[in-house]
Amino acid sequence: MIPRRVAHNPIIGPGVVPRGVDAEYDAACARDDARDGPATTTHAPASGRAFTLDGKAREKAPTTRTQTPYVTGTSALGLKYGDGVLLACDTLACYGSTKRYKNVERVKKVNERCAIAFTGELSDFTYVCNLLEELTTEDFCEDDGMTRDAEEIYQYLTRVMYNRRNKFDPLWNSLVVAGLKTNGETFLGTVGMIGTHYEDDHVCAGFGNHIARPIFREFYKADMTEEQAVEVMRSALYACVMRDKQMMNKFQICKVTKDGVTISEPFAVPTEWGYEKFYNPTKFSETGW
Amino acid sequence: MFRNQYDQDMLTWSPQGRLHQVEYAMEAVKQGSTVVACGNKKCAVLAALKRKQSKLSSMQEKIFAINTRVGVAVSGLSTDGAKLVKLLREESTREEFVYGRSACPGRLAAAASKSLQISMRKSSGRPCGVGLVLVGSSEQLGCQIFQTCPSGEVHQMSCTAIGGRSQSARTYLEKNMEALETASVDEMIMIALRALNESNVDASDLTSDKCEVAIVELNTYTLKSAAEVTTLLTNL
Repeated sequence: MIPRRVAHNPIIGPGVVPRGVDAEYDAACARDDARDGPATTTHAPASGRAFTLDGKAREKAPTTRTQTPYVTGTSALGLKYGDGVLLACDTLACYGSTKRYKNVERVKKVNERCAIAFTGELSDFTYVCNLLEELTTEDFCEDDGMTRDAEEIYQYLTRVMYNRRNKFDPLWNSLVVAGLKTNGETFLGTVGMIGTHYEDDHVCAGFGNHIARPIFREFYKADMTEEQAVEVMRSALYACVMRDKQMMNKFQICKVTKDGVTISEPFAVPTEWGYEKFYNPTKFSETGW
Repeated sequence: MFRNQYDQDMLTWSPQGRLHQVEYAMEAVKQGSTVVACGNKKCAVLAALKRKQSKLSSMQEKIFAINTRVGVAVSGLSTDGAKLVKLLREESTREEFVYGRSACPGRLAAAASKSLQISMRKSSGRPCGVGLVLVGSSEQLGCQIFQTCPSGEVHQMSCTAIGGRSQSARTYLEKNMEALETASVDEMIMIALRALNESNVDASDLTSDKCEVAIVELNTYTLKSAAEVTTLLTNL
């Protein structure tokens, strides 16, 4: 079969070139035309020709479906305290704006002294998890007693994220890495989807960066007890769920201390929707409608 | 010269289940000059005798830094050694780039072992005729000593000596095994140098241009300068 030229985008496929429009194309198809004869049914495009899909062109074209997020998680929060680190996020993965998957664990335990939480594309996070799983397996196979601490996992993830950015196919995630360094100090850092990264006493990824960080800045103390830290975290989660429509009132808090990683059962915070301004949101707004 | 008909290449086993080519390569290690290493969790010392090709040439380098925490001494074919040192440095750089931390000595020894083992399985080429003693430290596991041989075997050692006439150094180390556990850095250097001295059968005593000393403490590797080695040798 002669590969036929088609009328429009060869990747999209179906397109019909009517006879008499393109002389060069008519010449190329002359033999097929002679064989097939003129169109016989009224339903077939009377003056057009059959088309072929250009599979080669489709192969050559870059994949673009990985370049927009589809199923996403929103904020992930991290907070250091006296002798450990907390990670918190809700259990929701949205399909666009639809609250599609309500029971997703958005925190992953990497090893006994490191856990990560994500925002952004769920499937990309699964991929990141697979990479980390491979890393752990490799360490296990070496059998020399070495495991990666939080700092190394963090550095590794920045390398992964930046490498994918350089391929113009970034992993659509921001990650929060929490854990302990080899010397026993606590560690908390965040990695953006293009490899941007920083460490701090409290970090947030996603929309929570705007909502929870101010609360952390106000209430963070280096020597907080676990109870105090959880209290700060709950107030931050409350602030997030009240303001972020992609957030759900079902949270998990993950704790990393020298005793290991524990991920809590899901819980909810009491919310309050009875404020007057919620009933009539445009009342005091000049630009509302 | 041929030992038997089964030593022509790496793919032929002798009926006794031996690979003669590998054993010949291990002999090459014994042609090299002595390398001594001893240590405990807190510190480790690497000491090596240096030789020169002729009276007119410079001394051959024996101890190489891999990164800021790991050093390696080679005995045997020095060019094969150089190849492995390059491999270790590359591996170390890669680890540092990906994980932001110096590679730990165990991983580096494993990398060297993999490379050595590959050359054992191919009929083209030959096994590397070099033994490495790798000394380094990591935050997690403290100071460690590893020894590789041409067959690709890696052993973690508390003390070791390889190369020509190393047996007398080993005997000395065996006698002083107990002292190693609790030795301070200075004591450890002395033990290493005395062991090295056992293997020095030249007419002249050890001098700073005939030996090299490197020490590893927690997270630091330092090669002693000639002047420092001279002072150390006065206390021998």
